[in-house]
Amino acid sequence: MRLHTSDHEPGDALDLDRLWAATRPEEPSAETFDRLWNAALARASEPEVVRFPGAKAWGLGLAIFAQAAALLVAAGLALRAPTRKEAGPAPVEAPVVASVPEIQVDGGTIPIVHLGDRRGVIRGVEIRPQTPESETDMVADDLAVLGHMESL
Amino acid sequence: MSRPALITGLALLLLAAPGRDVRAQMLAQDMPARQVTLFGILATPAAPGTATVDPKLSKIAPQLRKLYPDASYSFKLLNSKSTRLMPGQAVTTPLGGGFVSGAELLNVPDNDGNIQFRFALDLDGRTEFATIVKTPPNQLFFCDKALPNGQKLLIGLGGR
Repeated sequence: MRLHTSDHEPGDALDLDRLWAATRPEEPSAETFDRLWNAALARASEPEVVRFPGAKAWGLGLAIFAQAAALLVAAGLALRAPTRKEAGPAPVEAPVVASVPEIQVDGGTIPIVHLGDRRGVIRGVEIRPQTPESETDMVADDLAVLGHMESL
Repeated sequence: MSRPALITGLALLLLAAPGRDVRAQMLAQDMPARQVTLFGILATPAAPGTATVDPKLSKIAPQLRKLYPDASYSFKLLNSKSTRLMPGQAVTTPLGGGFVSGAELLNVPDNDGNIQFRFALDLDGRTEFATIVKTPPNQLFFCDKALPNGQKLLIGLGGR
């Protein structure tokens, strides 16, 4: 908790000093301090060891099973792991869907979108003018196809 | 005109004139149903003079040949569906080999009288190609997909 200096009266600091002096424990001697410090350093440098219960507690069979399982997992990983030469090609991300925002079909034209054989490839958008023998033939072809397909 | 009559008339006019959103809704609701046809044809390269045409397509063989004037193809009908759609409804046509084509009649007012579709071609459940098609009634839109063996998957879409 932060106290504002305005919260203290001038005499409070002296009271705190007297209280500190009265309750402060005695400082250890230099030899005591060195002994404690060296012991702490020695403990900190020792490796952490997690001790399992003895074989009698767990059962010898369980210990053997655990070792066998570890060997099997290691063998399986060794057999599956590809060597550098055998490693296959990196997976290829699927390409973005090929799309044309909008196709406006005008009368008298044949619009054809040509897609490539590979996914995501548009080879071209062709707006081919119809070549009618007469004005009335301009829609006759489409009508013929539509009408025929509707009848199937 | 007296002031009370003018005020009454203006009030009636404001009440009678629907808001912009309401007008759009009314216009969409008035959009007609369309007879939509979606079909798929397999075009196989053939030596000149040896091309064959599926008997179901014999009546429109000349029109199909016009699509590929520089090459000779045999044509086989894979599937055809013709159905009456309301705006917002769709038709799908399986074409074999995992291909499915679909067309949705869009609920979009068009001042030019065009019919608007959302067209898509799927392969094994993944979309290969998609676009919006705006076309006058009775006019066809085509899409062909090159197949690895030189064949073409020709898809036609039209409405009226």
